[in-house]
Amino acid sequence: MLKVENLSIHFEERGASQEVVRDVSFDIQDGEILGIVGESGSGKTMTALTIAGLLKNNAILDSGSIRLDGVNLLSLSEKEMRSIQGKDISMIFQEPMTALNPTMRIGKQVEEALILHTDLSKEERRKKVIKALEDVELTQPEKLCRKYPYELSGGMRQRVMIAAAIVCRPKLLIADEPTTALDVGTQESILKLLKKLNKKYNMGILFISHNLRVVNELCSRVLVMKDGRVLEEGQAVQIFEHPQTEYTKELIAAIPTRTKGSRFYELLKARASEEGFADSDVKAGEENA
Amino acid sequence: MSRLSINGMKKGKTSNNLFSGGPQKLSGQKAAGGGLRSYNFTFGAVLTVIMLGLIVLGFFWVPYDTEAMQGSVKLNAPSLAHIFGTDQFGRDVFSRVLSGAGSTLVIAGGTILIGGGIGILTGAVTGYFGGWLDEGLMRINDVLAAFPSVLLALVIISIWGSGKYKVMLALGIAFIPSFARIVRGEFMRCREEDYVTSARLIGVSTPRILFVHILPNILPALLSSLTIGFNNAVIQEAGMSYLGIGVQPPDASLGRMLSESQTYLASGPWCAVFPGLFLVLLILGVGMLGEGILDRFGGGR
Amino acid sequence: MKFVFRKLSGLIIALLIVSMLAFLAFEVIPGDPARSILGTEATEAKVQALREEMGLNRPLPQRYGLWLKDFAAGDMGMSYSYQVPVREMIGDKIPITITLTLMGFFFILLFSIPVSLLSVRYENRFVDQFFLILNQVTMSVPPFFVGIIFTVLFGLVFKLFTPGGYVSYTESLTGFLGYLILPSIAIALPKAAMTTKLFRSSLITEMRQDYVRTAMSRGNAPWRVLVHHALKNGILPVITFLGMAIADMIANSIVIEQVFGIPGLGRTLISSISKRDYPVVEAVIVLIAVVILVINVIVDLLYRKLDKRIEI
Repeated sequence: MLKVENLSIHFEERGASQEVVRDVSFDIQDGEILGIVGESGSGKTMTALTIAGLLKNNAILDSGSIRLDGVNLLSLSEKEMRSIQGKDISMIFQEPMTALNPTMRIGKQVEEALILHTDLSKEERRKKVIKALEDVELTQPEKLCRKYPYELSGGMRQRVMIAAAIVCRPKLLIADEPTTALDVGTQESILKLLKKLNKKYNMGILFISHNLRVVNELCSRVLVMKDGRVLEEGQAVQIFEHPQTEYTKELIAAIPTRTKGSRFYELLKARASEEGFADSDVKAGEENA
Repeated sequence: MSRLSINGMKKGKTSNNLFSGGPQKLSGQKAAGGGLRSYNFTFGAVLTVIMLGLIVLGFFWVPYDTEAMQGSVKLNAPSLAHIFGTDQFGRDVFSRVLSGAGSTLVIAGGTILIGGGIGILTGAVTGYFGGWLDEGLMRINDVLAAFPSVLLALVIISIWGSGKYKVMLALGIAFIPSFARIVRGEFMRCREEDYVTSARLIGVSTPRILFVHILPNILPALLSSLTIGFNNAVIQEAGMSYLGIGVQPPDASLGRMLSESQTYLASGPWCAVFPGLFLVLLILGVGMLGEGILDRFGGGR
Repeated sequence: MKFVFRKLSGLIIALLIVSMLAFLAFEVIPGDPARSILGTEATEAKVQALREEMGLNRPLPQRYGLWLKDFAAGDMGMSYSYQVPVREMIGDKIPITITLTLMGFFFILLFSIPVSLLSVRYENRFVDQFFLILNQVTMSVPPFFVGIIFTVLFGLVFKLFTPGGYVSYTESLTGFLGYLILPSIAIALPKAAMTTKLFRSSLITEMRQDYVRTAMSRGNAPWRVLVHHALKNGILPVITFLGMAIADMIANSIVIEQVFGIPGLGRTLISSISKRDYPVVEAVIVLIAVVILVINVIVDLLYRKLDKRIEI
């Protein structure tokens, strides 16, 4: 569905230029969840923003193409790109506290993509908004529509963000560190929700995180990025169990909860046996907080 | 990463030669550079120096006697002999503008000395110490500061009467509340900062903390509000003199020149234009200087 | 509700402070009000009788109480110079000044909102730079000089109006409003320039916020983001300034009324100051003070209504 080829981008700021994305290629199939892991500055967010058509104005495209169902997004005009943003490609962000408009009612924010991309009547739009809010497992959607973001918890806000992103049933949802700002319990429920929506609507997800554990939990395939380049690509379990590069090994070692008895350890064990790995392959690493 | 251009990403033009190899800008415009801001200080300083220089020159020398009426040159248009023209009595407008601006400078300068001086003192002390006295004083102060200072000045003038120094005193007093309010806020902000706490701990005396340690830190904000105060004083003095309740004859005044010239607007517009233009340039220069100070030394605040 | 109550009680305290200050200010004036009214030829006995009648021999707090009670009831005393109740003198002038100020406020919004939006949409491009310079200059022009320029330009050169040809609102409402257009633009222009400056930088800050990126990711066009998202958030910091701008415009209307020959409150105030007609001066100042304080409370309440983030 989405095919990124040889994408290279650099920034120019007052004469100085800086490479941010170097020769990145990957694809995402219909209904697939692809994870990109890397530290901050690895170019993962830049890649995501480029796909979403949201790059800063000092970003310069050196080469590459991004094809959504065959159409090169980079060759579209601003106006043409806008007709895809929010309709075929949606994006959710890290900070649910600031990513919602503080002075706009929840209902209006969820409805906006429908206003922009459909000719539905007010009543039809209202129904879709309610449906989207129900999809993200928020209770009392009618009441919620009239509320403002400050009245909601962080987890609820992220759910609202997701509802607003999926209201037009996009083919691809780009999630840029959507759980990083949330507490662990909320993280889990958001991950579950994304998985559910992925299954329910066969919606592709590009999931970006610095946290290999979270990526592993959600994604079927993983891309490891560093300094703007793709270091490694493969099935999640593959990468997790048989990292090819030192960098990936370090990332795995940096996961704090790989102690015996932790929920993650159990999960890993379950998955390992499911995929046919030996129990012993799951090594208990040190705490590395 | 979270910053975005409002243009989003521009691709239309770049698409055709995407693979031509050379780098392409995704957007037509450069990131916000220094732009106009960096000129504020320089331009403001230069203009201020020129205007103040002219006014100071006027204290010592003007081309013609400001009161000398020459029947032969009534309402003459600007010429080499009279660069700003002459008024209805044949007086040289340029000379009169310079001496009127002299009154303006004395009044505006005196206003910020009085208002700024007392305002800074009370603001510093109440802001630094806080407490009930601060609460009570600031309650009254806030009410007063909510008023346009010109109204306070008018009350004082209606009681004391008009004249150059009375206007200065009235405006000065009227400006105290707003200065006190600004300075108090700054001192309250600085009170809790580390360098103040450590100065207090090593036993630096309070006046020294207030005026040697804190004051330099709030100087850009203070200077900028002093320039705003100066400009307000200039505008208000001119306004009051225009209304006939400000500077009184024989003291010259730009505001009164403007009001006198109004009768002759059709036959001698320069009598109004030049005094007004002089005011505008003075205010523009000082205003930009004030902003330039904030831009350059304000430390991002 | 609690917030409204607190604001209203704050308003009452502020009104008391203002009335007390105003009363005291006009108490310390040297000279005897009774003597001022009767003139120098009146006998001492007559003056004493009037002093007694006016309550001038009572203690200060009592006099303040009486004055406040009368003022609240609409009795603002007698004019020294015209021997008519102050209320009659200024009653029909209040609508003129209020209309002038409201029109000025309208023009501030009319100029500053489109210019700010345009400047932010094309940030750092030609329109933006052009308006930055224009703003800086406009800010530096005293309102009464704007008035004089208008008189020359529109009155004498283009002959669009007759300078000094004020039309009373009792005669013709459209004529009245029409005559007030230029004066209200004159008081609005410098404030509009300041508003634009503030609004522009506030909007620029908003356009860098995360929620704007979210809105862009939904396929919003830049203009739509500006109008539907940034505008409402960006106007919040400007509201407080607009409140002060109204107060300043009331003050500036005093001068502008003189420039255009409009018989409003300002003219009455100035002629009363010249004649030392204290009851009139006092009444006008206190009235303006009340209006300004009420505007401040309205601004606070409006801010609270618009900014959903404030929790008090």
